[in-house]
Amino acid sequence: MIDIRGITKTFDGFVALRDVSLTIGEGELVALLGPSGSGKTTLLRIIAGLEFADTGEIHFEGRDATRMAARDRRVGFVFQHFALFRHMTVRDNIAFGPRVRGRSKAEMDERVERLLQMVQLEGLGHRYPSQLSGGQRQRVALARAMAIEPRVLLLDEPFGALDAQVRKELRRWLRQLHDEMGITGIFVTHDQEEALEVADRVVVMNRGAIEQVGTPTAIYDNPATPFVYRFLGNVNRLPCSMRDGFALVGGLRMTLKGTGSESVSGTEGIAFVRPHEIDLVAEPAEAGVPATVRHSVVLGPMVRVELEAEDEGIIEAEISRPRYRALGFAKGSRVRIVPRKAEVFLDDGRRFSAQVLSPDRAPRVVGSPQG
Amino acid sequence: MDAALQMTLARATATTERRPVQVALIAAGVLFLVFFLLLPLAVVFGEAFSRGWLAYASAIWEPDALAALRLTLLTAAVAVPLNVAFGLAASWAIAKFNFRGRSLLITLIDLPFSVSPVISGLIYVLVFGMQGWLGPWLEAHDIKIIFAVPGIILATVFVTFPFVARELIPLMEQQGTEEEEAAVVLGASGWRTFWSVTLPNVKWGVLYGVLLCNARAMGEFGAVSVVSGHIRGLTNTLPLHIEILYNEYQFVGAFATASLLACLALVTLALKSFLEWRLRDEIAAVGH
Amino acid sequence: MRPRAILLRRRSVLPGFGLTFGVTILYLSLIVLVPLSAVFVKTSGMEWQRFVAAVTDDRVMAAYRLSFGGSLIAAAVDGVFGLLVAWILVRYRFPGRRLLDAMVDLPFALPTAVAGIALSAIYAPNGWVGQLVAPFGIKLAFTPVGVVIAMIFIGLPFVVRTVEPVLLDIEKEVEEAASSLGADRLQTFRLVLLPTIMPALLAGFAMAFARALGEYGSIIFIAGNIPGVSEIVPLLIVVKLEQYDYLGATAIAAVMLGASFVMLLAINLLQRWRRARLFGD
Repeated sequence: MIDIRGITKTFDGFVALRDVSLTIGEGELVALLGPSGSGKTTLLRIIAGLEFADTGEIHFEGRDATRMAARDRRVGFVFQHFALFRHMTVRDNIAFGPRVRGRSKAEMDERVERLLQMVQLEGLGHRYPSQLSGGQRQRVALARAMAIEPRVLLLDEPFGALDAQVRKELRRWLRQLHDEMGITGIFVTHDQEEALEVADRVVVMNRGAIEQVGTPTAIYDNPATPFVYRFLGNVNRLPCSMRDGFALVGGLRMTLKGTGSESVSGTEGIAFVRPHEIDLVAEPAEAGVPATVRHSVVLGPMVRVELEAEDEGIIEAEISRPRYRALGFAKGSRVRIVPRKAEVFLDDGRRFSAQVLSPDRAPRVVGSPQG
Repeated sequence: MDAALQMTLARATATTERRPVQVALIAAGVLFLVFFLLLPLAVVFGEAFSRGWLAYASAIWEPDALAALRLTLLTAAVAVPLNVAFGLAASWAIAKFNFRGRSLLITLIDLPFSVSPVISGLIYVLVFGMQGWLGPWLEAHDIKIIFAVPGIILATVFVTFPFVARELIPLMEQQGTEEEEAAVVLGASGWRTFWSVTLPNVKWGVLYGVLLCNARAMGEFGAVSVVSGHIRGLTNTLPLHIEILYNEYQFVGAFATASLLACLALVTLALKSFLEWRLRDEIAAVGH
Repeated sequence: MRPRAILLRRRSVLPGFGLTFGVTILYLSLIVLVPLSAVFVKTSGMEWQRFVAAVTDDRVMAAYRLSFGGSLIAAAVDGVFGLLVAWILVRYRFPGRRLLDAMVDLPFALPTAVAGIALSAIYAPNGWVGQLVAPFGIKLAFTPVGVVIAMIFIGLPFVVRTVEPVLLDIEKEVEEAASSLGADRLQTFRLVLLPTIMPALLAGFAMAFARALGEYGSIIFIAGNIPGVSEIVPLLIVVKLEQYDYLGATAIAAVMLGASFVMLLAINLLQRWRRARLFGD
């Protein structure tokens, strides 16, 4: 178990981490997700002992490790650009950890063999890193980190330096490997898809602080802050105002849910709407945000429609192909945007889920997978 | 400094040593440099002024010293432009074109650097000396090269031969041929392309080469010593003049003259640092 | 097909290849290749036995021992201290660092005769350092030790300047990797950094050695030039020339040139090895 308590770190006046606390359980695979500059790599490096926090503590299995040097932490670190020893063969790279820790030759050989097998590089032990592909180098880096039998495996943008195809493969493979070995793992990524697909738990970071911690489903379905909402995939922002427990979005009344929602009135806010939670209706219509169709792309069973709303800029909607055909839009068509569901963040900091309830106002959606 | 930072500095972190180790290494390195580099420099000026300003001035303002200075300047004035012209031609041919034997050519250009200065002088004695290939013919036509100014200049050209070329070849290689090709496609002539595209791009590199070439040309001792014949007032350069004075135990004179060349070295080093800074821009401008 | 097309591997739209290539070859031949070949032409005219006698007589052998042995020691000292100097200049920040960095090139910029008289003034028995050690019966100048001191001076920049860029290029991550795998600083240096620096260090060592072998000006003043004791090979060539023994001088020069070419080849191979290390086969 890794216990991170109140870590703050500044670099020349720039606050990289601000009072960050996080607990990582045995055997968990956790993703630190955030844009560049969010502090996720700094946090990883502090856990590894490659950087030291200004204030705060780190405990490994209950023991204070805040001031422990990197070499004493038994932490496996996989660097973004692998940082393999270029003058050593694959075998020597993997054997490095056991070697400097004074393991016997026999033990070293046995472990290297096992790890080569694990990362599916049997027979390539005599090669130099420069003779390997990017994906192979990544796996050598992983095997090298695993060779010290680390209590936790830390990976800094593990797939960042690879091309898209190899990336997907390795992602699946890493997940599988984790499931087999059961080792605690933390990896840093700025790719939300990667985080949601691979991790047990996702830590979303922004500007040196943790925005939300949760399972991929929880994070995706219930983003805690506007930032998380924005960061996890496409989301549209529509201004709205509250009246008597309703949110008015482009004249459309959406019912607010949650305690205290009935009394909300008079405040302004922003409704976050995912593209697949939008429906489009043709003009003339009585409610919805007016917009113009700019462009549409067919994506499998769905059609992504890019719209230009008068005040809100570009809005993306995803509707089913039959529905799109039925509407018969062309470039330049005038339409209304009608959200089915939204997350409303009020200017005063409160948030509510909003939904279109009254059936007469809700457009009938035929053939939509969400409908 | 706060406690956490102090703690980090005091210990060996992942990429640096403990502060005491650092201090010890810095002390050892600095001591070595002071002892081997700064001490000789200090001695030159210390000895030069050991009898005061007057002795210093009169040692320099002396006919033989002035003659040696003139010859040194003349030698550099001939050798440097010759090697600049060669350096530009060679680097154009080597960096802008691809041909077989290219790397051999680069090695051959660097050759004078790996030849002992004494041998650099000797080879001209073998060619132009009395017993050399052209000796009898030169004698018959009353042309003196060895033990005369032309020999000194030739030997100097030899030892400074690679300076400009070896500076420009990698620089031009890095800059590639795209800009020149664009100029040619736009209709510029070869000369025009060279003067208005290539030369401005490598001007700091040329100056860098000139600087090093000049320092060596003015300071060369071994090669020039072999071909000069040491005739006072006629075939003595400043370094040779220093040797004569030193061997005659005229230490103030020797070190006073040496201090002139030491100043040249210091100016060269200062300019070199400045040019290296500009050269970084020249290379960075290419975007590598 | 024009003749230059044979030379060109890749067609280029740029003009001037013929002119610049021609000028390069002509100038190179006149200034460097033809005069250098004179050494070999002249020696090849010698009878073999006479050549062997000229290059192996006792005085010459003593000079070889001093020149090669001294250069080896000096290059080794330069290797150790050059690495140390490069290390502190690249890794640490301390007052005067930039000035010292610029001063490293002093042996390149300072005329050898100036260095020569300065070194001899320092290490002579009545000199700045010489008088400190003289009471203990230690003589530095006018002995082989003096020769080595001058050789160290002249060779230092070669090591520093070849090692510096390699040190700068080492990624921080590689050291961090070693550390997180459990290596202490000494292990990281020995197992990771040193092997990475080694090709450059060897190249710098070889350059310092080659330079010391041929050096003349900065050595002869401090050497004392006692035949058989502190007489270096280049000086011996000059001595032979002054005695009008052109053949003897040329024969020794041929041996030294041969040694230089071997060194040049070694340095080139080392540089190639270094590149192969860094960028793969």
